[in-house]
Amino acid sequence: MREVLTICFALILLVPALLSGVNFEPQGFVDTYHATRLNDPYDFLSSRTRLRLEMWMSGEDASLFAAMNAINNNVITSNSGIELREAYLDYIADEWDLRIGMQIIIWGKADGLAITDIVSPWDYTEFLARDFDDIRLPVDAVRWRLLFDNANLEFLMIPIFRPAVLPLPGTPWAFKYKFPGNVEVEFDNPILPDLLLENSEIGGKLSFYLPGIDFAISSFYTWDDYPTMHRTISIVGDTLSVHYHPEHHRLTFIGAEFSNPWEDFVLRGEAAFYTNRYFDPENLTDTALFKKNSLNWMIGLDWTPGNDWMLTAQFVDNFILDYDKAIKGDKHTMLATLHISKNLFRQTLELSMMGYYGINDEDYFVRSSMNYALTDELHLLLGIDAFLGDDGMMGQYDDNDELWIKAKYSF
Amino acid sequence: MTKKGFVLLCLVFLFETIAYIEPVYAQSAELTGRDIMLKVHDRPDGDDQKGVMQMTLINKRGKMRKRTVLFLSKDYGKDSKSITYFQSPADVKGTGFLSWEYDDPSKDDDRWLYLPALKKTRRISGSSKNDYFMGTDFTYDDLGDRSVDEDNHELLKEEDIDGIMCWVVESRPKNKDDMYSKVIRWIQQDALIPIKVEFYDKQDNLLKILIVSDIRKQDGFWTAFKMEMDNIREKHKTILEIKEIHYDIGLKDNLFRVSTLERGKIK
Repeated sequence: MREVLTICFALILLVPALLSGVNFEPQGFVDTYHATRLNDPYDFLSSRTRLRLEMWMSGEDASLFAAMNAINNNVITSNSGIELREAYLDYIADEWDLRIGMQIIIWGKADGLAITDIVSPWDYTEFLARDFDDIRLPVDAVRWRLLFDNANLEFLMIPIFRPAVLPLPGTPWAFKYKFPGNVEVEFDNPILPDLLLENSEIGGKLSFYLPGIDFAISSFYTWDDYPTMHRTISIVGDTLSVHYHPEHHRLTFIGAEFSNPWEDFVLRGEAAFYTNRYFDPENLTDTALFKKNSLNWMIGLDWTPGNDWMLTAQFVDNFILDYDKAIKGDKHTMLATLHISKNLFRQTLELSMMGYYGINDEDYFVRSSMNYALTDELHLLLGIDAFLGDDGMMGQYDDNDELWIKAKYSF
Repeated sequence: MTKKGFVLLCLVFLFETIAYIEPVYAQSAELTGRDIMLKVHDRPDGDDQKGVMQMTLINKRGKMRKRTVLFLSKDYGKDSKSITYFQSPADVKGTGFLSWEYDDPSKDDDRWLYLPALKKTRRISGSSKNDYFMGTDFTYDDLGDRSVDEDNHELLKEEDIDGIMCWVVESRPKNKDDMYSKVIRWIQQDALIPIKVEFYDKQDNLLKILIVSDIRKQDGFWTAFKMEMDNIREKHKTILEIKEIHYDIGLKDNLFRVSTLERGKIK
């Protein structure tokens, strides 16, 4: 049904455009990506091909943008099909603009990290082993911006909540929960907020673009993209049964960010204060969750030393305020990232390495890749993803080291 | 990509500096090399401009790659603002750059890069002056707003090239870290446009030759519509062509904002 609606939508877009003579600019790409595990059984961890079709139509002050994906996924077959990626209307006045519809909204200054960037949820279907632009999900939103010479004041309203997508059970990227042998576990489907106007997410952001520095403050009355894992416990004999009842809760967020260039460097930073976030107890038999405020912050540095080198380093700390030792997890959860890239042969070959290091669990994820532009339109890519660690978000994929190839033709 | 942004905006400047509205006649006997380079640097141009430029890269096997950019710029006294978008190739279409450039050398320019795939605007820094831009044969420094007093200039002679009277000026950098030992320019006297430039490496060997052609008036301004940079050492060539340009069209100030950049295109 969704596919039929999408095709109808596309026709609705195309026909008037072709008849009315407004500017109509189709573009897009085809890419195919295949990854095989580097350990026994050497199975395919990913195998997918996609057609992306984008259309942009413009009139005098208004325009329309739509993007669709047609996907064939051989490993996660439920992801095959046709999907609407984005579809929104723009109206542009001299001192304000308005965007209504399904759109991806990116906040923040960090690369590949969500500190203040919490408007568009993340898609962890294949964890982080995808391009950054594929990991973000669109939201149905109204965005209204007041525009000044050196500043923007942005208001957001998202009437329909969209949660983050977690890896599906049974796929190579499913989360690996660790329970003792005498524990039985059951999961309910997450409880989502009802489709009511009062359950809308609303937010705002004031951004300044000044000589020598950008900075912004933001606030968002939202829903947690990740469900809180409420649970009930029962004990029968030696067996402990844990029944999880995931539920999304309201969250209030206040954020700040800055970016400051200096010679060949750019210093970037973000901080986000969350109120009343739920945290799990360490003890599995405890059913009462902890409700705490938290502060997440990031500092990063970009360096372009010349000769087509680019280096970026980031450090992140997620800090639970008024910490209780009974909380599962540490008071500080720290992460470091390093990205190095080098262009060769008149920028037809890019070598790149993006690494994440979980300081608490000492786990790693490193994506190394080569991107060769056979022509301007056709790029061939080859890469290796390496996971290492006994625990942690990245360490759980220790067996998912993979070799991948990708080809992308843009039109 | 950050480097690409910087250089694209420098490209806009380059074409600005080879546009001139009034012929200038001067007696070379009264001029020094620095005087001539100052005239080239300071000549007036329109208050704003909008155009489309194509870059063709040709390797030693004759294989061509093309990039097309839309550019807009506007003067604010001695400062200026520019915005540039890639129109092709398809993999970078919609990538945009915004720059606020200041005449005061002690003040760094402000630059932003918009990446449409990531829906994200990044603040970007300056880049290495000696890096080549987008695989072309132009370095940042070739294209940038180089201050006249960063080099020592010497007027070598006057020379007639195909009926065009030129001053021949040799410029040697004061900073020994520069990638060129010297640059020799043949500057067309009536239009103050360098029609030929030779670049020499640190060993004083000829590295590249730039030929500027198709010079004609557009909206009352002299404009060079074609520039061909021949990299002798690498047997690689880059041709820059202005496909369309208009001056003094009254561009609005609100075009040169980050919010405009983030829309991904300009009507």
